[in-house]
Amino acid sequence: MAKTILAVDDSASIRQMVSFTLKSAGYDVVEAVDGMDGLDKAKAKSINLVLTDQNMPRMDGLTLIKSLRKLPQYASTPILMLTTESSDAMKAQGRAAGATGWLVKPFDPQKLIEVVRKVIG
Amino acid sequence: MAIDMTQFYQVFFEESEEHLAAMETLLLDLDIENPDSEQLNAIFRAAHSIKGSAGTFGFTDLAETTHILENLLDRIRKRELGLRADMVDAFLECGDLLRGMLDGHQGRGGVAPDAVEAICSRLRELSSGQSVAATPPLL
Repeated sequence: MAKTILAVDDSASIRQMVSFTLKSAGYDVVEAVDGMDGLDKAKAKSINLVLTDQNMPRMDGLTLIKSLRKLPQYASTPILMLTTESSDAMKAQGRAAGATGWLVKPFDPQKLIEVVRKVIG
Repeated sequence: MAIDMTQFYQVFFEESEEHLAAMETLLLDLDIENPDSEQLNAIFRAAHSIKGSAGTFGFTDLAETTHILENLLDRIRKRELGLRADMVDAFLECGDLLRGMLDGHQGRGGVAPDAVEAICSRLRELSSGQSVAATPPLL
C-alpha cells in the first residue's frame, strides 16, 4: 500500500507541485493549507511523513510540529520542514520542536523525491 | 523523472497577484505611528510566500526583489526598525514593480531593469537604517 504524505503549505502552487511530484513517485498525498488544517488532517488520517512550511497564517510550521509531537500516533513520525529559512537558529528551533530534517526552498522535484525516499522508502 | 514545472506557473501567477493585492490593501490600511503586529506579519508573509514560490519556479527576478523587500519587512515586524511613511511608499512602489514583473512573465509588458534596480537600492538603504529603540508607551 502506498505511503501517505501530508504536505502543508499556504502556497497553492508549491502544494500543487509537491503533490504532483510525490504522486508521480507513487505516494498518496494529503494537502493542507496551513498548520491548523494540517493538524486536523493528521488527526483524521494515518500519515507516514509530514512536509511542512514554516511561515503560514493561523498556525505556523513549528507550532504544527509541536502539536503533532504531543499526539501519541505522531510521536516518531518523520516531519520535514520545507522552508526558505535555513539559518542555524531556525534549525535549532525546528529540532527543539521535533522536526526530523529540512529541505530548503527553492528545491527541485528530483531533490524532493530523493529526500522523501531516504526518509520513508 | 522530469517534471514539467510550467504546469504550475498559472497558479503561481494567480496567487502572487492575490498576495500583492492583499499586501497593498494592508499597507494602505496601516497606522504608521502604531502599526498592528498582525498586519505587519501578514504583509511579511505575502512577500515571503512570493519569494519562496518564485525561487522554486525559477523566476529569479521576482525572488531577488521580494527577498530584499522581505528583509526590510522582517526588521520592521520585529520592531528593529520603526515604520515610516517613506517605507510604505517604497513597499507600494515595489508591489507595482512586482506586478509588472508578473505581467512580463505572462507576456504582457514588463518593467524596466533600471526601475527594479532603483527600488532594490532604496529598500536596501531603508533596511540598513540604524536600529531604533521601541517607542515607550504613552502614559
